[in-house]
Amino acid sequence: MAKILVVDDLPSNRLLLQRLCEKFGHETISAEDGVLAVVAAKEQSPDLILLDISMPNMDGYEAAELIKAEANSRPDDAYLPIIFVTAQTSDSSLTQAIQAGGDDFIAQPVRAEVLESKISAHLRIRELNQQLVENNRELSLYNRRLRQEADLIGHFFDKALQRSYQDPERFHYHTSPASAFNGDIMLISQGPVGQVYVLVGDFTGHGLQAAMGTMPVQQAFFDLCQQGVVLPELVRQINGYLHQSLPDSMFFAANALLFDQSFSKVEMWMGGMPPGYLVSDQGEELMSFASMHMPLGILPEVEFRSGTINYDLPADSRVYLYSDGAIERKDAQGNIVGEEGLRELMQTMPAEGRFEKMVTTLVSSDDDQDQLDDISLIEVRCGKH
Amino acid sequence: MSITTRVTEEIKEATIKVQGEFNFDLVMDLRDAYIEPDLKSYSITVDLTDCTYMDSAALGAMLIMKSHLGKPDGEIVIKVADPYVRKVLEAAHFEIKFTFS
Repeated sequence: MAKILVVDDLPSNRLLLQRLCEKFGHETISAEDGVLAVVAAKEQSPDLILLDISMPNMDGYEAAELIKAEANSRPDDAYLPIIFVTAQTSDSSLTQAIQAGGDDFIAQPVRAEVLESKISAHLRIRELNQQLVENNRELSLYNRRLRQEADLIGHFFDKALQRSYQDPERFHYHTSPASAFNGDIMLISQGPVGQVYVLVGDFTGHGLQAAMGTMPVQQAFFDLCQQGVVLPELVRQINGYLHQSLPDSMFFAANALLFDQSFSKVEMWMGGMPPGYLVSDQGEELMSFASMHMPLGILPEVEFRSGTINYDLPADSRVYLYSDGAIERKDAQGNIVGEEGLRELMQTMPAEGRFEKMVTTLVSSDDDQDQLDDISLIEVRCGKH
Repeated sequence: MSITTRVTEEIKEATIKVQGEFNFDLVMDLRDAYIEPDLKSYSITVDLTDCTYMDSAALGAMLIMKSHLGKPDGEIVIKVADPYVRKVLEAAHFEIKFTFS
């Protein structure tokens, strides 16, 4: 049952329309002219209005305009149908009725079946519209709550990352998540005897799903580094933890590095990441480090391989590692464009400013497409300084 | 991109062919390919010769398939042609779990 406002200056017309509406099962209220109609529409919130056009004080056109304007300004703004009831059926008066905000018209004398079907059609639209307004409201509420939660989680991530060891002379790094959450990890920690651990990694996928895995890894990494564990033990522990807790579909591609105090030697465990590079300050590619193992979190303890490789690091050289997020596009030969681009930069740019240039290249290479995956890049300056 | 399965009943062989980009969007399709019909008792080949791209979600889906079907290491065969796809599989050292051909 709906509430219908009947507006007409002639009592007989009003009465007839009200009777009909009540016969259709609706509740009715009435007004005698445009001014009273505007007041009634505002105060009594009808679901539909039947509006005469020629009336004293204020005609139907003006009343319709005011009523629509008022209805639109309400927070629960839903479609409020206005049907003109009129003896004037000329094209121009119909145009004027629609322009004034009318939604339909019905000719006098009114035929009951026509009136009934028009009323029910417009009430159906109103109901759908109300549902839509309600859904929108719930959605925006939900959206706001989600954003608050995202902020909170972001806070935890930021806090955890602040535990990373800072040495701006040695380490340059850049991370840019594809969404609000980062599934990439870039952690640095100093061990008890001055050795420095680095963990650069990338969880399957991106967004919150990927980021979920990073929290416990951070915790484990910092704890193990504080104990000064050897590198194979560090990766074995993290693998064991992830293998137990991650679903089968998720894993963690990672490079784990251990530098000696003077940064003249490095030990590496590399699982599932794109190759890393050792480049001299003059731009000579001294070495490339390819993935040696499966990513972390896939293999059970007994199958896990913790083998590492040791390298000597010349004094004027730098190590570069990155996640695959930025380099996934490839050219016709199947070469990864980003990877070739980065290698070229490493070999042509002088050491100073090289890293910054690499970052701008990575970020701008994504100009023509949305960033699809998290991006991380790190440069480590080797040798005493 | 699409996934099609060819099952040869008499010799219990099934080939799952992935065409185009193999990414998150195809993960559920891969699952459907070996669950209905149930391919547990079949020897499986995953044909990636027409696959041009593979991401970590796709790698994850392959691992799930292997564990769901209960296949021992090396029994599922992966056919690779595209150099990029090969690079992705090699970086993740999938030869430990699968046989490349």
